[in-house]
Amino acid sequence: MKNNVIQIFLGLIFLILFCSTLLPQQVKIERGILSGQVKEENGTPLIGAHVRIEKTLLGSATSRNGTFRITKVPAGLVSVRISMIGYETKLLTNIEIKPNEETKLEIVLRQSAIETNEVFVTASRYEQKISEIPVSVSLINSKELSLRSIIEFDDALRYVPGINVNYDQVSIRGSNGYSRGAGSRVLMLFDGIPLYSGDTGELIFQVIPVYEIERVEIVKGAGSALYGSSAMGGVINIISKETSVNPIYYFKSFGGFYDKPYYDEWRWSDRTRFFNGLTFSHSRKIGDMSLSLSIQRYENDSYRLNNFTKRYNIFLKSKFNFTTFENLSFLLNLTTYRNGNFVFWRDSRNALMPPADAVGQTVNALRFNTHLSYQKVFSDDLLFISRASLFHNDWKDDTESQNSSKSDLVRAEAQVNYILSENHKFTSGIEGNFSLIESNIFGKPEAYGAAFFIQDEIKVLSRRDVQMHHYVGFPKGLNATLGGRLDYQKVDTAVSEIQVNPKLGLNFQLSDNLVLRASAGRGYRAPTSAELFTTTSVSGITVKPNPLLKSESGWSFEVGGNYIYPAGGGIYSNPSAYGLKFDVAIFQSEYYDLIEPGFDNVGQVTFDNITRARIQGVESKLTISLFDNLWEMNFGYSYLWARDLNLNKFLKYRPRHLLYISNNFKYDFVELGIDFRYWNRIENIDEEFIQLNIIKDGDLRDKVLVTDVRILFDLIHFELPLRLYLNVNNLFNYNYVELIGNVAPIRHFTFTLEGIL
Amino acid sequence: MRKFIQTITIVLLLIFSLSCEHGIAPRIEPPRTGFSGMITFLNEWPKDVYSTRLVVFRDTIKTASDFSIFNIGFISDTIPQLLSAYYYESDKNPVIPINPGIYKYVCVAQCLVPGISLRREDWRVAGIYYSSNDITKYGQIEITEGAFLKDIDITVDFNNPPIQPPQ
Repeated sequence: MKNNVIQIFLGLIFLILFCSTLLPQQVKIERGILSGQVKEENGTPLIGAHVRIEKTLLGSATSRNGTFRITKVPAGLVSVRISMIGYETKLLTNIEIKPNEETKLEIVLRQSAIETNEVFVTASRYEQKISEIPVSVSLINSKELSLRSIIEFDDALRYVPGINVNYDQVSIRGSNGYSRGAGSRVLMLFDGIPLYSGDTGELIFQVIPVYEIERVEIVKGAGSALYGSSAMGGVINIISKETSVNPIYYFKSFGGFYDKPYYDEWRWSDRTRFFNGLTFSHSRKIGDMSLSLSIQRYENDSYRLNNFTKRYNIFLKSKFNFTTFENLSFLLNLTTYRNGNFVFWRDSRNALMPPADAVGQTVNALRFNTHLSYQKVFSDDLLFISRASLFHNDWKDDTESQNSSKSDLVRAEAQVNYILSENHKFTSGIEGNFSLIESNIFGKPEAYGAAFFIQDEIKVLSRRDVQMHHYVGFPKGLNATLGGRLDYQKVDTAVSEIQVNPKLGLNFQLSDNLVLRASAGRGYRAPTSAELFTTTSVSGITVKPNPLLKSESGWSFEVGGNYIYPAGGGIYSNPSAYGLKFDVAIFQSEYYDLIEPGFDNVGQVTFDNITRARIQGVESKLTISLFDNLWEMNFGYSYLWARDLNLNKFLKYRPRHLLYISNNFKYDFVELGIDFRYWNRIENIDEEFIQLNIIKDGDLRDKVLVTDVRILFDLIHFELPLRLYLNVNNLFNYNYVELIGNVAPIRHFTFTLEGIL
Repeated sequence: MRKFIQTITIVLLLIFSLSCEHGIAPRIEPPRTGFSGMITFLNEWPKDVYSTRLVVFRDTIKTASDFSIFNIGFISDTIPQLLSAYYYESDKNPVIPINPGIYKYVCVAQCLVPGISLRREDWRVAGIYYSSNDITKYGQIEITEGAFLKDIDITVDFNNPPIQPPQ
């Protein structure tokens, strides 16, 4: 079975390489070199800033002293975009590149929490300014991940407005409850490629190498019109760091410990519970190929009995530039880990211990994802991208039933971006996927699918902006986006399905400060093999298959607005000046045939299309920047009205109120930060688990009130390539559950040392 | 600007002070609720069974459909095979724990397939709880919150099984 999958994957790689030789080649042109340094206003070199030559595939991340060097730049006048999240994006036009000569640039970027020119690729499958997108989006950058000392990727999502993470399942605007590992209504992408397991369709956050993340783009609302199944509630696209053409050695070492539990009854160990991790990364250029290799080890004793983790990760990314306009990139991300199997607590008096019969149970997993991507710029107007990917999952536990599953998911896609005119962009593509499973609980189903998508964006600019072509504030005008996707999916003996998912988006740039937006889109999720074919018995509960299960679907509607002051974001120089950005959206999602597990009349659990749901709500985010960007505050509030229309009850595991407050204060080489999260008490949970006494005291839950604090010492200011972080998470040792029977992490302290050579 | 910063600071302090609560707390262990008794096994154990359990139904099994998850009030952990007597307590590792209520059919049942099946044909009733040793009347138990019934004894005679409820 596995040989077939590997053959298909290798065949796709061969096809991509073969096609690349058939495509017309660029004529030979004269070239030069562009080099330089990117700094902050105070002269501190900026590490990891992106320098890109517009209308080519050339670019680089800056090295530890902020320098960059890009070879094979076409001679003539070029435009150079310099960007780094948290700083103003700069576009330098008419930079002259002379044949066989080196052009040097000194670039200064200003810090800015209020940014309008940030680039976003996920909403439309091509680069757009964030202010031109017709849907609600959020962005997480690598600096935030470092500041918050994020170890598991899902922890990063806990600070995003409109998102709540239930233990290990992420929900955008209430789209997911808790499905116990079977499917997700949020699609996760890694460098644009869907990353969910072939058997259960779940998002596996342990495989994400957090230290290799450049930024995370989050699109809220149905995204199936571009990304197909699972993107009902939204899309999370994790974008890995660019390989640097300059040699960079990076290391990160962290260690920490959990405090004592607040209640003496919960103390199950006299020993302090530690965690630690070590990451080494090296990036360099060899000939025309840039290469990045990282190795990480992570170990966590955990604050709970039988909840330990030991994990190793290897990440390899390389990019080969055939020409200025053509490149091939390869990525391999391999993770192996062993976890204690902690499913739920023994009872509320033994909340940090699993039931006695679960002590000693472990889960072992080997997972890897790999992809090959080919890009070619045919002209200023036409970009072609093709990709092939493989996601392999192999896990087994040592519970009584010895559950195990191996799955391979192969995908391939080809995409064309065509710029018909400056204000008219067209995107289209095809996709195919194939998966094989071998499991003692899901059987040996095969699944395959194909898709075609198309999108057209028309921008109607006002005459003034066409003439001025300025980058301060929003260019006024209307952007209209229309798109759709046709999907065919067949999972083994289940009925095949065809899904059509259209979308419409409008973005109206009313003034230099104000943008309004509106969108509508359809999403769907095909049932996973786990939901269709699971046959198992756990703790006296028998799960039986339902091959008649069909896809769930939904429509998302949204209107919103974004106000920014002053226009253009960080364009102000008075030290007492302030800036603000306010974003608000009103949304409604109508869900049909939601797949939920339920008990049949003989007490067996089966998945069925049972729920008709409606989620309405408001989401807002306010960013305030004070004292010339020294103090940044973020407030995010979401209200959800999530109803199960069949039962006339609040949907399970959805909070009604979500509040996030974040403060960051920077002075010289020190940064202080504090984050606060609030959810109201979850109104509805899986009552069956309580009634059948499967989870003792499982109904015990409260609101979530968590405060995290941090301090960073940035020694790069003293020309020492080191950063020191101290984080205290759950400062007040507040006890809460996101998922019934699972106490969330108690107070813990993390010390991190990060170095770049 | 100063007023704005003062307001923000006060709001933040108020919010952070909320965090001084400590959220969920362990529940006090409730008084025992349930029942216990002795099961006496007579004669040779049958060889075709996978497990033997104490099973309690809310209502007497009059039709096969009464053998359903909705009628079952309690299923014990497996009773070890080949014993001549077994003392049980309903709150020790039950598969389905007992809740307060009235239960009209208490039996020892033997499962003929692995695991716990909820199909009537997979079970054989080996012994029934009778009140006052009157084998014409099934014994009824009433479980109340915080009370623990004792002496709910059952005799299982493998050579003389009770009348089986409808298949």
